[in-house]
Amino acid sequence: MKDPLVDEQHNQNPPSKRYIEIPVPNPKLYISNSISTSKYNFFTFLPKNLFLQFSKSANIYFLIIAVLQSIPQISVTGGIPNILMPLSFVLTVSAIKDLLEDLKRKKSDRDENYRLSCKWNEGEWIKEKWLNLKVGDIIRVEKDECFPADLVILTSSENKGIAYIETKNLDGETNLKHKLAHKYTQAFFQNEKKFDRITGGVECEDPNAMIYQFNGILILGETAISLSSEQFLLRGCSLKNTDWIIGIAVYTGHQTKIMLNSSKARSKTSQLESQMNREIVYIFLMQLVLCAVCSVYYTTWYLEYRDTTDIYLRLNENSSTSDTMVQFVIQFFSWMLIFTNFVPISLLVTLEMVRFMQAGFISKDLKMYYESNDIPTGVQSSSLNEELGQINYVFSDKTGTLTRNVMEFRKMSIHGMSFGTSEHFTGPNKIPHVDFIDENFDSNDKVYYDFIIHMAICHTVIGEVKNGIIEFKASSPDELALVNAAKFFGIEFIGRDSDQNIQLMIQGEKVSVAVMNVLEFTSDRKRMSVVVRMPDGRIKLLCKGADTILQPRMLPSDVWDETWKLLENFANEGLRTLVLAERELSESEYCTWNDHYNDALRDILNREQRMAEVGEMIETHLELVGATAIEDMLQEKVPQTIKTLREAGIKVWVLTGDKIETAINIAFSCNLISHDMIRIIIESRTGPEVKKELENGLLTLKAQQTKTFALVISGEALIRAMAKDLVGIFIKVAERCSVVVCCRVSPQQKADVVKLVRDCKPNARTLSIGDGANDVNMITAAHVGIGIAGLEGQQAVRASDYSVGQFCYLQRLLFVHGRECYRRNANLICYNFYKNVLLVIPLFYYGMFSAYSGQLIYNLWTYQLFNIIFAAMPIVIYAVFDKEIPYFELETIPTYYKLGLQGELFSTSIFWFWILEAFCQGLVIVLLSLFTLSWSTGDRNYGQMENMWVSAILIFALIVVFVNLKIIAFSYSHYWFSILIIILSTGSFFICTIMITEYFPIISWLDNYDSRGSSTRIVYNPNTYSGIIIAIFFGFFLKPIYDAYISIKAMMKKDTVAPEDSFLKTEEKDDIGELLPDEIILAEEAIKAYNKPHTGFAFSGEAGHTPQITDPGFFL
Amino acid sequence: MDAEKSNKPGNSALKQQKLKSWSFKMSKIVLGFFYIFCGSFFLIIGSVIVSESNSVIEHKLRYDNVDACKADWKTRPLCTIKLELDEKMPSPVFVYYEITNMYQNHRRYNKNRDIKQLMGKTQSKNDIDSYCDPVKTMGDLGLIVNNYYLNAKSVANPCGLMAKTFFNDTYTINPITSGIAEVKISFDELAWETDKDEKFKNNDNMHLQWTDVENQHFMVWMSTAGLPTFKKLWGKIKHDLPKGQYAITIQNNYDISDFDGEKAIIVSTTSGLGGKMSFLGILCLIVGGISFLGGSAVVGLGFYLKKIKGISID
Repeated sequence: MKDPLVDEQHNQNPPSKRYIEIPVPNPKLYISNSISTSKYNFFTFLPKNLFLQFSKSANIYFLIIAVLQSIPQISVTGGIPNILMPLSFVLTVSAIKDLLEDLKRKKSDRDENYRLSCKWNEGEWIKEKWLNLKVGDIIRVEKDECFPADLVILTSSENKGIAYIETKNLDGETNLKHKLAHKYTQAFFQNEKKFDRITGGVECEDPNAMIYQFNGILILGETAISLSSEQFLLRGCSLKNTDWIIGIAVYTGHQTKIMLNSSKARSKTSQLESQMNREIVYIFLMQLVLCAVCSVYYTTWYLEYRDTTDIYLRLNENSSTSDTMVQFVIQFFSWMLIFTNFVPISLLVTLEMVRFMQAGFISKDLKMYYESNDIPTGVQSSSLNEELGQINYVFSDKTGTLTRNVMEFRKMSIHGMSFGTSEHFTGPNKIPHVDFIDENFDSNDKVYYDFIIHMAICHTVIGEVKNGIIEFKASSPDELALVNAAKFFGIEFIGRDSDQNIQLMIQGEKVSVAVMNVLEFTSDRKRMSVVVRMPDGRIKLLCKGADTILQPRMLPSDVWDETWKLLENFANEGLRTLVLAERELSESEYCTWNDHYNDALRDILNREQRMAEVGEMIETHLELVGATAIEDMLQEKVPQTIKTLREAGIKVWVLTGDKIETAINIAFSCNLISHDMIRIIIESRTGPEVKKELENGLLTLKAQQTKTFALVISGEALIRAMAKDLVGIFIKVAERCSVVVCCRVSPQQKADVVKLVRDCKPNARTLSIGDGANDVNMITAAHVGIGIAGLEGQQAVRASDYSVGQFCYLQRLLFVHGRECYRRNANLICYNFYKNVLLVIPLFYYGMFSAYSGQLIYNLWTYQLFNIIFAAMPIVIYAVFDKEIPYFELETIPTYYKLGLQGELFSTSIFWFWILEAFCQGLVIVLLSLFTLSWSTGDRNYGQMENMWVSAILIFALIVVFVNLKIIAFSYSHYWFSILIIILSTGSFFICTIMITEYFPIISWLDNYDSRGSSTRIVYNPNTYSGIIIAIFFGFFLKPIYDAYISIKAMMKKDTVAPEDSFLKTEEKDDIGELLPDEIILAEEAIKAYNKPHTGFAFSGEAGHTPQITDPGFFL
Repeated sequence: MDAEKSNKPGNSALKQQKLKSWSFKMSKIVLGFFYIFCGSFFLIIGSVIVSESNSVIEHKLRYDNVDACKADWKTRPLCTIKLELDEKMPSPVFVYYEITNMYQNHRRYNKNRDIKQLMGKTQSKNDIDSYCDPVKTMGDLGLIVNNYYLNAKSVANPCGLMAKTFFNDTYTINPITSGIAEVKISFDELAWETDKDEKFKNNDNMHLQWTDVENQHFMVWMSTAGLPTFKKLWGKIKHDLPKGQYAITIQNNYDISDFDGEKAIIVSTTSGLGGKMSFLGILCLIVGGISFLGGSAVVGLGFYLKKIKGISID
């Protein structure tokens, strides 16, 4: 546990103490164990939500407009603030959406709060919901359950009070850790009845975020017992390999360490949305410019014509408007009100609605549903849907994300021969952790006996018989695989006796092997050994470890070369290898050494170093026994997914808390690294060394520009590399490498790496994916955070924006949903601007014919209903249902995703093209409507002329028809209901207009006096129809034929059909420059160093987790 | 996991986004043929519109600059201009007046009336204040009326700038050498049905009004023109006008000189599509031409590529 999730600042002040009196006199003293991540409750919803909504500038803007509309001098709506109608609509829809999302959060909180744990209640254990647990409660946690609160362990089912816990959820480390109930409490509470009569208390620190620190005193009656982190169990961890523990709750709910560490999720905005916000500003500026143009024109006109038009306009008489400046200001604000709808009022709410529905479809996608764990894809923040279509970097955790954290024994090498095939064992008889098929291997052959018994003896696994079945308890999954493999080959490890001697079952016979010494595994030694007395009385040292470490300690062997080659083969398949070796010791040799060993054991201060030294003494002259190859099982389809992601131009970085060897191994098995890649490994611990390594790496990059590179860097080196002076060169190297693997990084470092990439590449979009609490920082730091939803542990999922059941669903999530959401939402945004510009711009054009006097020719209500009814739904349907390309093609062909990354789907110029289109179409609409209807009569028998309002209604009708036709024009797929909605939207305008102009009574607030009868006039005027057809032709039919013509012309010139992806731009990279002459030799040396073959050693497990085996004095 | 509580999403076509959809995408050749078809359609329509428009006989006579009407028009408003018909105008023949450079659609102008008053309701000075400023009283109208009901301070009914500036030129047409005795101009079908039925009603007490709002010329005037150059229907001649000369006598009251306006009288027949308006037809022909040429080019080049060079274009 080297990577505290702790902020430095916490260490500054010593925390103050709390004393929990038991029984707790007043339960209200401490907060309850319920957790809440929801934003609102029944009472705060309305004010809080309104406040949040009005903190958006667009809503404030419309509120101001409503105020302006109420001022008679400038109001173009007769003093009615009718913008409030669409505004309140927008606010309501948005509020409903917020409410639904909050209910979802409430539900997930409820799920967590309603989990059950056992609590001691007046003489018996009762099931209690988590939220009802209180500080001071005695809680019993069963095997594989999670701890409901931060507990102090009192007693455990295991002998001597040991308990194994898994902290994967907290720090991502996969080996089990042990906790230990204090001797006194372990003995004291053997009788459960004692729980009833506890009097005393726990003194401990006030709740704080320091995860690995705990100090306290437990007072039981007269006895004071000091507590340390050994006795402290964290919420979020789970109990493993231990039947039950009983503990006392000391921190609950939001005061638990894990909750104090969970940072409040920062609200994330997609790039598209920030671009949209910028565009709103552009459009608003454009509106201001147009207002200025109109008012300047009008003011000039006014100055020139106010006298000559006095006869009918009497502009001079209105005293308040005589001043030129006042005139200008009033006119300016009038035009502001007329142009209000330039800013698309319904854009945000439409976007939010659409994302909400898109999120629904994402979570309903059966192809992203993980059947075996019953986990569908979850969407926590749908506002990032489109961001999924723009990802440049994927940062992935390893354990639980890429791998299953299950090791399976696959192959081995004995006497230079390889056993085990790449076939997989299927069938009901499969024993766990072994997947070995080879007909050529006969495990009864005495030749292999040494090898198999080595696997059965050389480990620190504990075996226990439970209900007649032997259960292995191992802190290292590798050893678990080896022990199981030995069992598979006929030598079964059945447990240890009280002296920790190993009991084996060989062909039905019980055999005891005395374990005399254990030399533990550490990441420096990269090997572990046991000294045993074999059944035949010989003393043997059995050792397993890394090939590179063992080779110099070995006697020459004639099969070493073959074995080495096999190791390379294993490694290229992504298997983790261990070399097994042994040495026979004479009694005298052993006795001498054993004294050294015992000396070392007694040296409490330098024990680790001393043990390493005594290990060094005896671990020589080893004989090769063989090598094992274990598969660190990947999650489903991980290699294919990574390959496809990379083909789409996404860079995949692996950030893991695991060791460098393990990480490299996984990188091999995931197809991230292949043996033809040059691996630049940076693992030094000091600044200058790291600098040297980075420079070497850069030289190599320069020398071998055609090769592909992988960068592997350790956490400690990373700290140096990210320091100010080296960060430049680090980024240069990292960017050039197609794969980056960071090992042994702390949760904070994971986040720092993500932030570094974000800072250095401001345009790149990052995605983090992980499954544990140790990934939370990285998940929140990235643009998009994805949590792998496992069976246990919700930390990552809670902090994430999306959660999936499996890593491989990432491909569909990005390629299908992300890409399509991005394309559709980009179009939705453009379309919303388009339709509003098209709605408003005719008023500007009409100004040319009305001296820019501020004539609003639309009916007030139809004008405001436009965004709510006439042009609201079709774009929603589009954005939810449109498919450019069948989903299976999108999912499998990375090229389509690449298009999005290269800005082919959306860009500022595309946006302005939409606006330009609206400007042109608006002009066509205004001119055609005005002149077809107002120029001459269309009435054969009565010769009556049409008035302004008839033209105005045609203008508006054409706008509605255009914006609805536009949807059809840019949709790729049409459904019966999408067409129906388009017809209904258009139809609703006609119905609404006919009602207003023909049937409703004439009322001044309905604004239907002037336009009375216009609908009938339009229908009976034959010129209307030719005008509409021509307008539609100019609006929609010029482009397709022009495009077709241009593309055919292009084909004529090229004579050949352009290859499908020729238009894909090549990736831009910073030039790293050529190699200088004097650097060539240096580079060659560096390359030589990197060209070490990969032999795949990896071992998971650290010293100190099985103290009862390794430390004879442990329980004393 | 309980089967009922499974989180498995439903496998419906809707939830899995597998609903049946279709696309309007067509191959380029088909697109080309489609455009050729549309083009032909437009060309036909365009020709029809143009020929219809050409069949309309329209005579427009500007009279504000005619010497007879120009000189001293304020004191001697009556003047006469000549209308020469070189072919017969079949009935119905419509008489319009046209005014240029007058912004009836100015924001201040076209809203300057009280709709309740126009619909026959008696409005107080306060009621009309916000709508009709600056023409609220009889005094503001400039009409000197002084009787039992009305004086300079009483509410103008109808009030507002629009009503005040009601067009009041009148025309009579007399045949000179055309073989008919007189030209009868009727005024009974000038305004829209809705104008007559709903929008304009005299007050129950007609004495409160300074003019008859049910007068169709008034209604026509109050119907805002969309362009600063506008025509308004003035009368309808329900019989043919034979070939020959006519004299149009104009009561020249309306002052347009300040704003550089022009006044004209238009005598016109109609076709099936209404009055003379050739630009729609011409636009149709242009659209048809573009469409036809574009379609032909795409089809032609497409076949060329396919046949000669063996390249498929889709």
